[in-house]
Amino acid sequence: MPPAIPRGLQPGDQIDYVELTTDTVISATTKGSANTVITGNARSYDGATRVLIEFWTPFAYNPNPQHIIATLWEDSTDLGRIGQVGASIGACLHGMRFLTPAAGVHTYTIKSWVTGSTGTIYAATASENLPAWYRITKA
Amino acid sequence: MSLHPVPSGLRPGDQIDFVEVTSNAATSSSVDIVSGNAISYDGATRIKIEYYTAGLDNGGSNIGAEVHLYEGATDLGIMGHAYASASQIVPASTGHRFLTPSAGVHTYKLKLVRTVTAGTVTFYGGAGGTGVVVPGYLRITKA
Repeated sequence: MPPAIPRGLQPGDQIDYVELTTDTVISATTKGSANTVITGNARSYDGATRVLIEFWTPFAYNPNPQHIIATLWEDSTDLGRIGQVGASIGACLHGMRFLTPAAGVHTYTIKSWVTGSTGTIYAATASENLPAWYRITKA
Repeated sequence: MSLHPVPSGLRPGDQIDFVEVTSNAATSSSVDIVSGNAISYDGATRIKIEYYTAGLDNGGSNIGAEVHLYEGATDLGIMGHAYASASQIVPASTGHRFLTPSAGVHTYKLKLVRTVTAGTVTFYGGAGGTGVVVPGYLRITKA
């Protein structure tokens, strides 16, 4: 059974955290086939706890004039775009979403796709980047 | 010894350090953006270090502007990056790092680095007010 959200959490208390320390090449060109970037841990929610889900990378970039898009998934459901970097621009990306998960076990995943060509979510410490991360806290 | 030990009993989100950037940092090579205060850590407190700037300007075609996070003299890595095929200001750039500092006194610093030998890159910060950029910042909170 996945860990349940403890009672008595205060806003800002951490519920889940996963780091990414390797680059992820994004080649998928449709949201339905998006590449997985970070998969969170399964957590058991009570249906009443409002949470903040965040994703951050130091650098998201598609070298060709195409966009790179990060999406937030709850289990097998695409909850939508949580961040996007436009054509020919590379930038750090910080996405946030407040929601109250339905009662039960849920796993959140960050995926990414490009509007064309190939992009990268950078996180490789070997190339001097700080790790990318996904985090859930009580809102 | 630092005059700023991390208090016991901190809650996640409680502030440990905060320094504003009230003028632009610009460079054609590298320059310090801001230094935090020396803080004494206990070796067990996980913290979040973050920065904010209203804009990070890459200064020209195919130039990168990197924000590096330093712990003392050690470069911990690239905390933020702006790059474009043309001169471009990446708006509202933020960087975040979670870590547990070793026991002792540490000072964190941001440094701006240009990636190629052309152009001038800029980390924006100002005093705020009508038509003026709001301050950037370096902030440390309990994670």
